[in-house]
Amino acid sequence: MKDLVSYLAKSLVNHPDEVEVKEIQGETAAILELRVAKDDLGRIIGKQGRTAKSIRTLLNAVASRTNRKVVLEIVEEK
Amino acid sequence: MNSVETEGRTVDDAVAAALTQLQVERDRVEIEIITQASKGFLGIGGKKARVRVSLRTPTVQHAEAPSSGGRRRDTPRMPESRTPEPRMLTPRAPERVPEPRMPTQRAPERIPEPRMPAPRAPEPRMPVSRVPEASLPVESFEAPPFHPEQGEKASEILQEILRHMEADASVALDQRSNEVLLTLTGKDSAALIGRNGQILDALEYVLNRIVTRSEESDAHLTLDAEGYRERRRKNLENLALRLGERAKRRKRPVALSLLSPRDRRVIHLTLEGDPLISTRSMGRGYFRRLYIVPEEGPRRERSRGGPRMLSGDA
Repeated sequence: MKDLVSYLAKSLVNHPDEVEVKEIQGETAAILELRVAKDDLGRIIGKQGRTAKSIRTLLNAVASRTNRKVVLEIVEEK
Repeated sequence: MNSVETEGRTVDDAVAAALTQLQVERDRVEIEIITQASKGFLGIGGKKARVRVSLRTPTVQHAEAPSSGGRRRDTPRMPESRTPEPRMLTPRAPERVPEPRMPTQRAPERIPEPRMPAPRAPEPRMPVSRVPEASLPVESFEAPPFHPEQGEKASEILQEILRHMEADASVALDQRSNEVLLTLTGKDSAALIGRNGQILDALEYVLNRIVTRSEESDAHLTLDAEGYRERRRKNLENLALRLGERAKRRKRPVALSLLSPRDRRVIHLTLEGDPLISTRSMGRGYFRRLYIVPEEGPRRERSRGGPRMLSGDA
């Protein structure tokens, strides 16, 4: 799942080498933290958050097949 | 005193009672919630909501009742429940936050006069006259031309995504003059449709974003699996015809549930040829909603007047 997010993010942004995905395994759900270059944030989120939503949908599709739960956090760097 | 305390089953009820007592509108009062209503257990032991409602001094007219608990309660009763959601834990993303000015549309079927939540220039002026309807730029449907290499590229990217999703499906590419159709086949193709085509739409959207890398252009390529798009289209056509009949019978506009632009388009096109009804989309972005509006009967031709439908007038 980490690979999926990483691949999607890298394909969407202008600075693929700044894409970073960190997986945090929680008790009930895994959290994927996605970091991208600041000016790529819009590309990841998309208009009305549509891109982010789509990524989450795909992620959940994969997760539910294996009975896992996953949360995607898009982390904004300060 | 200009203040009363009332009780009700809900805070709203209590406030309503108070307003009747005071004989004022809600924006003239200050509302203080003393106790929130609680359901209790099996109808026993429930608490009523208790509020104190006091008249505001008329000198300072606040434009907005600041945080009247009562008011806040009835705003977000949005079509949330009608929105198809996957069973899994979809994090309710912030993009869902309702636009502040939405009218509270509870039962869409009953809305007599579609109010414009945020009037944009082109829509409100739509003529009722029959002729220009077909040419109404309701939504831009046509996708700009698509380069052949993009189709190949899209197909490759899609396969890569599927691989990362550990999905067993392959991609067939069908490139026509100005549209690219990708079809999923294989063991997992049906599973990749998702409820209401959710997964399919997500894949398609992301794919379009990656291939065109532009926020503006939309839906160049179409993704399908197991004939889903066609099936969906047929369903929508049936729905359109059925609701069209209902609009004619009731002589009132009929609102559809929230649909994607693509789905709305099907409705528009299906009903395009019917002179007795017209279709329009109102609202913005996520909340854009389609209405089927019955035309006025020929015996009562009106020379002017926009999409104004007072009940009993049509």
